[in-house]
Amino acid sequence: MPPYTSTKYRMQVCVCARECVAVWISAYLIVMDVIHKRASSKEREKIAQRADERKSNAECVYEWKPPPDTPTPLHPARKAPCDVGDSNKMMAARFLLRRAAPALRQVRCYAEAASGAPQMSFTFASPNEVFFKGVSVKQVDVPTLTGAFGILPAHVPTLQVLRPGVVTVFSDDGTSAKYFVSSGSITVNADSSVQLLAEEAVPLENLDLATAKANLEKAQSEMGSASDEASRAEVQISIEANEAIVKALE
Amino acid sequence: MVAYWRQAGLSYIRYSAVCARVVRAALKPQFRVEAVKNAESSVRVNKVKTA
Repeated sequence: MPPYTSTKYRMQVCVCARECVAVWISAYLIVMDVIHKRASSKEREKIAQRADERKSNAECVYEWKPPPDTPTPLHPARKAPCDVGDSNKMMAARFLLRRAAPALRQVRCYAEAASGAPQMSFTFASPNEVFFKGVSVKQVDVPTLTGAFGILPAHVPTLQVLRPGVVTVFSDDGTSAKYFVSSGSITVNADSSVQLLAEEAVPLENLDLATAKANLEKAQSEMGSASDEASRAEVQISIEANEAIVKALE
Repeated sequence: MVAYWRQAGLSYIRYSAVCARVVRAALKPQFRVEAVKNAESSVRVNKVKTA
């Protein structure tokens, strides 16, 4: 006979007992659940039965019908008419509107289309001459160090630096004017005003193609004799500028 | 991307001066005289006499 007082035996008994208790408890819960379900379904049946009885016994049947379609007055905060056909939706909307009234204090309406015909105030000057001063134009094409791009009204504000190239100004009446610009800067502001400040700006007609070609060849021959990096860079700059002039005139 | 002239140690002012010189040199003769005159007048270099 095993000693019933030993610890190992006692522990085994405890574990056994615990498991048994767990099994009993779960069994109890399952049984109660089943009973409850059966009972609630029975109750629901009874309730439905009673409702049917009441309906059949009643003299007049009260049933909620949506009121006939009448245009309901709009909440003053709403400018845009909503779907008036469905009165249910209207009532729900008005209820929600009253709930949300504080948030709707600020007037809300459809987004405005981009205000028609924004104007671009264009200013173009060099140290010697002013070409445009606050003139309203349609588009300006500029050559910048990062590439050539066209600026329209409502362009994103930007600051760009120019390289030798052609600036084309398209004015409101459709005519375009071309200028050759040596370098400078262009500013596009948030109010669509554009300022183009050039170091040296001349109308294309003032440039001479033959002279430009001769200068280009001279610069290219100078490239070989350039000694240090700075002078080489300067020669390279003049080559590029002459190439731009030649390209503009051809 | 750094520009080649920036890498060679030149500033944009120098770049701009070289470009302007090139453009002035490519002008038609009747405009060139006036342009050169205008360009010279915008910058005047005064060498300060040291004691």
